[in-house]
Amino acid sequence: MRRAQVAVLGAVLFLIGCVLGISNGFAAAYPERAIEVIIPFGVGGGSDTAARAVGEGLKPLLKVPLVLTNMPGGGATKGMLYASQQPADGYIVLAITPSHMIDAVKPKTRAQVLRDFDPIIRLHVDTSSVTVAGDSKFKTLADLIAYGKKNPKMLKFAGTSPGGWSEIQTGAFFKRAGVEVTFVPFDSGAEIKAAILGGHIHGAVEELAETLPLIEAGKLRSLAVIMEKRHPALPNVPCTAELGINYTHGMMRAWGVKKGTPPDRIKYLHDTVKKSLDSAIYKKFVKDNHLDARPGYLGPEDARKSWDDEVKLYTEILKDLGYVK
Amino acid sequence: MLDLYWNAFATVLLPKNILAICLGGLWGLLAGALPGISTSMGVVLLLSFTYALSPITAFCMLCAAYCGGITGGSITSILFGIPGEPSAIPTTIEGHALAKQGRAAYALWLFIICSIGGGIFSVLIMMAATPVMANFALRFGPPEFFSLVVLGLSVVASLSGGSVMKGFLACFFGIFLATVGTDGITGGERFTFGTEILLGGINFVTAMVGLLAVSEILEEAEQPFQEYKSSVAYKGLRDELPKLSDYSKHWFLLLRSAVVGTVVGSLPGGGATIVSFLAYGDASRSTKHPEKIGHGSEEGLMAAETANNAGTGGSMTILLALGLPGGNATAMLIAAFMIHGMQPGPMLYASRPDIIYGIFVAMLMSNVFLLALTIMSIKLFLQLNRLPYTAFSAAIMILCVIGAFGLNNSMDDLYVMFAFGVIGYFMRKYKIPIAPAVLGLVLGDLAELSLRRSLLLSLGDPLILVTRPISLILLLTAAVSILWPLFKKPKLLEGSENA
Repeated sequence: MRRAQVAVLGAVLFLIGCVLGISNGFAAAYPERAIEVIIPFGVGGGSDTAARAVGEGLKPLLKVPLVLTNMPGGGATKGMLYASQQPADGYIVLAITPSHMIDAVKPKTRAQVLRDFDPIIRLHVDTSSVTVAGDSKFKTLADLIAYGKKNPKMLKFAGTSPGGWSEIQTGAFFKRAGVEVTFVPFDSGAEIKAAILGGHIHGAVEELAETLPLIEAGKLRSLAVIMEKRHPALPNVPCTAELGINYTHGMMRAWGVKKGTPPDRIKYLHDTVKKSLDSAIYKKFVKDNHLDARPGYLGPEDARKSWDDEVKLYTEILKDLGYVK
Repeated sequence: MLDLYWNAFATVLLPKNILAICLGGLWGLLAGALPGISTSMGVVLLLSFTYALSPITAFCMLCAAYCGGITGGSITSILFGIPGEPSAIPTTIEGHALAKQGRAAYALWLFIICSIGGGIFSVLIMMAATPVMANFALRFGPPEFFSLVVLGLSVVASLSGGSVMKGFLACFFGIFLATVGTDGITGGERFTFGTEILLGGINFVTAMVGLLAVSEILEEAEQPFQEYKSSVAYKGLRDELPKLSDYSKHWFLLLRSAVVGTVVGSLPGGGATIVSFLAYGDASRSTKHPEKIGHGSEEGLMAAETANNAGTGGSMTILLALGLPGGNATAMLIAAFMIHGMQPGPMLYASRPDIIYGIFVAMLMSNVFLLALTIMSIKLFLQLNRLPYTAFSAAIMILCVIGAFGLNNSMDDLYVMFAFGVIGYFMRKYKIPIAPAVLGLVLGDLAELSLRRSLLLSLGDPLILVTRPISLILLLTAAVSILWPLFKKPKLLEGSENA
């Protein structure tokens, strides 16, 4: 008796599911309900403010509501894992950062960005600079490198994410400059800047927008920007390319959806997001954070290529740093 | 400079700005008092309303919301025993103990006056000496921070109740819990057992709510099966109107707490978390009634609240002077500056003194108005205390669940909260003090990371902790405060319950 009831109930639920599935899959035009953007970081961080700036411009262009959800935890893996477990229907978008590319290199990953996600768009590429205290004894990058070469490991540089983007760019920069450096991880950019200002640490390789106000005030000094050309906000600071250091990589931000999402939905998302990049709010965000210093936008195919290249680069760097064999 | 202050007062005291302060303050109080909305979320939610306002009006509103959030959190801590933020733990322990003795109104009076007093003190310091303060704060590197945390942990000895052994045991358990999750120095996973739930570590707030509030409800749930206790007589705010001497006899403790709060509150990366523990520890050592610590000590509550709110001025100091946010809520204020086309930091000090001094005055006025706002709003909250405990505890449980879920909108946090509720229940049953475990959990992470950072800086040489003067002084103070009670009462170690 009981078993029969369960069976009937199951059949009914199955039928309801089928009906819903059909109406979902075939009948309605995409998008018909709210689109959710998963931000795998906490409120107020760089990735969060960037996603929200895009979101503000995107909202008026969408016929449906846009929901931005912060899902911090485990580097950026918790949010990615969640997004990878949702249906590939284009209603869940993941804000993607280099953290995900770096995670893809590690042997034990629960979700892998290249395998589980398709890019929609690359939004922008940030620029970092090698920053020391304003009263530091290192006046130029040559001073810093000379000291570092003479005293291996004595040069101490701060960063935020151990094994993540911050350590990668610090490690990669100094590796290519031929210096062995000690990386000291802190919890936030504020702590790093306080440690540099207080003279507890030599410096940091940090995103320029974060440090620019203190650089302009003379409290911090930028020794070089990590770029192919000089940065418009700091015309007197040399770039790594002109100093002969073969490292110009910047932090990219992109949006992606779960692999297997129908191409027309990806195209719709790409076209709408691209249009939103012209909104006043996003343009102001780009200008405030100097994200226009280098070209950032890429369409889905080019973004895919850039992701492949990034993972290759990070594999190489992580091998150098000893994180993977 | 007087000129600037004169103008700032004239601007902030305009009716529309006063209105902004009142609205912001009320919203902050509400956000802080409701579990599930933290102070920083309260500020974020308000941000979008300030786009259209003039900068000064916007900052009046946001500063009031920030101060109100810190103040409002303590209402929930005292009445319901739910700590909203790690820094509210001492308030939860002492204030809620007082509330359970039927002295909720008295505890609220102590907290209001002290927290507003601490807030005003820190704003005055900030007005007088922001650049000096900021430079002093910068002298705290990882070694100093580690010693500061050790000093914060040293309160364990006084928190342990009967047995110091059990107290340290609980504290080490808390420190162990703090190691779960992603390692902050190498990025590796520790004690996650391959699960996703533990990847981000054990969230302080959910674990705290579980250990302190949920476990208490579980334990009290046994009560109805015993003989019904008549509830303690209700006393309103008017019945408990405090005397000036209640405060003035502790003036030196309160002054110390306010100074500690302002200075340590300005340290980015956990400064605001430790201040209340430092002041609480100070109170527990200097009090004439050490037996009351953990069971409704007025001094403990007053010191912790003074320091906690003095931390707001400290955080603002470092934000305005250098553009560095001390915590989440002040990080949100940076966003407010950006919206209005400004970048906080030394440049703003020179280019827009009207804004800087306006904020000083807005902070001062926020504290003044909050005094009235808080007194009005807690009358409502106090009525809840008249409910019979059976109904009241159900309400508290709902608040706990909303609070834990609201943090990240994640069920995982709820599992963690209930798991810790059960752990806390058994700790209560076996008379293992809970407060030291919570202390270890909250401060363990800060202690570990700052120690390992120090050793990275010194390339593995532990002497870095004692060769730097500030660090050495702090460590010596900590050593004395851990060992002193043991010398004074050697029996504590053996664990006799009546010690």
